[in-house]
Amino acid sequence: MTSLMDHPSRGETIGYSFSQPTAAPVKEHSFYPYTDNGGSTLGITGSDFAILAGDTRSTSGYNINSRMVPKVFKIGGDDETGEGAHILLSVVGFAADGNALKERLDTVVKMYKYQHGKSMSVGACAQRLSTILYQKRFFPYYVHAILAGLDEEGKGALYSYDPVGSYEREQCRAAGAASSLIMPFLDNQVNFKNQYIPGSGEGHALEPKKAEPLPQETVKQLVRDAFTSAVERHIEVGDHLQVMIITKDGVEEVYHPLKKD
Amino acid sequence: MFIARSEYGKPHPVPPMPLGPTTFSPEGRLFQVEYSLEAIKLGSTAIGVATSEGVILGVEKRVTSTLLEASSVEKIVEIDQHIGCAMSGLQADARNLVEHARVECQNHAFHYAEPLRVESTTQAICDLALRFGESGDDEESVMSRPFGVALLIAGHDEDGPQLYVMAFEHFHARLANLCLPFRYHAEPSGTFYRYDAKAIGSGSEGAQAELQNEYHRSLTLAEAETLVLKTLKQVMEEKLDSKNVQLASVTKENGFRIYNDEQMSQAVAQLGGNQ
Repeated sequence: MTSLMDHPSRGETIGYSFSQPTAAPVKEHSFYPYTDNGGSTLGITGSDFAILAGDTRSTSGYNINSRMVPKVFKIGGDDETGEGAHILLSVVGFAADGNALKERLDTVVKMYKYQHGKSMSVGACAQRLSTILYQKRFFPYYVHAILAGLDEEGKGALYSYDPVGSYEREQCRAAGAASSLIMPFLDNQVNFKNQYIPGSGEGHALEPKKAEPLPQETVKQLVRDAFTSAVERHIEVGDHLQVMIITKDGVEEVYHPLKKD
Repeated sequence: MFIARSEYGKPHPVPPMPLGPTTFSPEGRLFQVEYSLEAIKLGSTAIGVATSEGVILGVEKRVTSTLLEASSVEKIVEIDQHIGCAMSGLQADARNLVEHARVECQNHAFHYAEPLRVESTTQAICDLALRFGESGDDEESVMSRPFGVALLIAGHDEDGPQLYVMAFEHFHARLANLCLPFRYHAEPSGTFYRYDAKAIGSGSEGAQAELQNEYHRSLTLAEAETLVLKTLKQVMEEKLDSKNVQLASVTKENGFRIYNDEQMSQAVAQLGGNQ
């Protein structure tokens, strides 16, 4: 790319005797402000918890920048460790943008508490994150964000976003490099897509299996399975699996090893 | 610039700066702020009573002419679905504050998909009320004087029904000779307090005394309605009828509701029946 750009225009290189020296050719420079740092994230909710997970690999093309760059963050905590936070955010895509977005949302959630004397609800935070993203509609934060917490009834709440702020509350969502590998797995295992009740009928009369909230242990296992599988087939995913589980008792964070190849 | 003396003790050639609205007097007073509270003293009476069921706001309309269309006197306005406001003092000033509060409410709903809390709304209004004498980008003062209006802000949120008063407490306290002038000077407008029941405006002294006697925590909304009307009736110069007073309520179920002609007639008729 660079060598092509640096080449002077043809006429000048050859330098015919009859050619008049022309003005210096316009040199093109380009700057691409985004990088894809790979990695994948995943969120699943249950009746009284929400899980947000992501691998910790950071890549640039075929290079690994670091094996330990977490993608899941506590938002609105009381100190640097995020103690006291009741909202989680995962960001995947361009890591610098993801970090900037995380810092900004964290500030907003803290300011909200000072201004209104109450903690921000996940629903309110979800809407605020959407407006933050849309405010940069023409120079977006290049990330897929997932927000997790507990709603007013104590049920797990998960909101997924596109880079410009469209969002939706869902039961589960995979984002990032291996999202196309993980999402169909979740559709089948969490929402029971393409699963039918045996013997309930023939052909179209076959009754679909109804989705219902899964127990925490099942979900934890699904998350680990999803990532061990993704690591097998995607080079940008690996190293460690960071898992955060939010319940009424607070946030629990654990790391599991993933393949480092 | 500042009054300064040269090295040799001669007076500085630059004349002293004229006292602006935000300049303290040598005694430590802000005259414009004090005068603005005098303006409120001239305002019509407005009363608010908070109960566990909701809040009632009531104002006297001062229909000064038989040719005046009473419905055009608008002293209770909506800020958001869950917040209403009664005013006493310069109506035009109140418009500014109310407009600001409406924008804040809408802005909050846009950003957070939830209604703005009543206290936060009140705080937003008070923030604006304290911005007189401030300079904008073009170095011209945005507002040259403090607002000459007091507001009763009634609303309902997750903390239940609430009533707030903007910038009045110390004016009232001074009238009653309860505190030294200096204490009152220290608080310019832009402060707010939460009340169970509060009267503002020209008849506020008498009205507040009445509220003090009559208010109790187990008041129903209907009883609060009667209390507001009864108190207004006592302090109004004109004879109270359904045209020269205006009521409004804020409840959990219906949010802010301003009484229509029929409801006003009904409320006033009920007052007559009770006495």
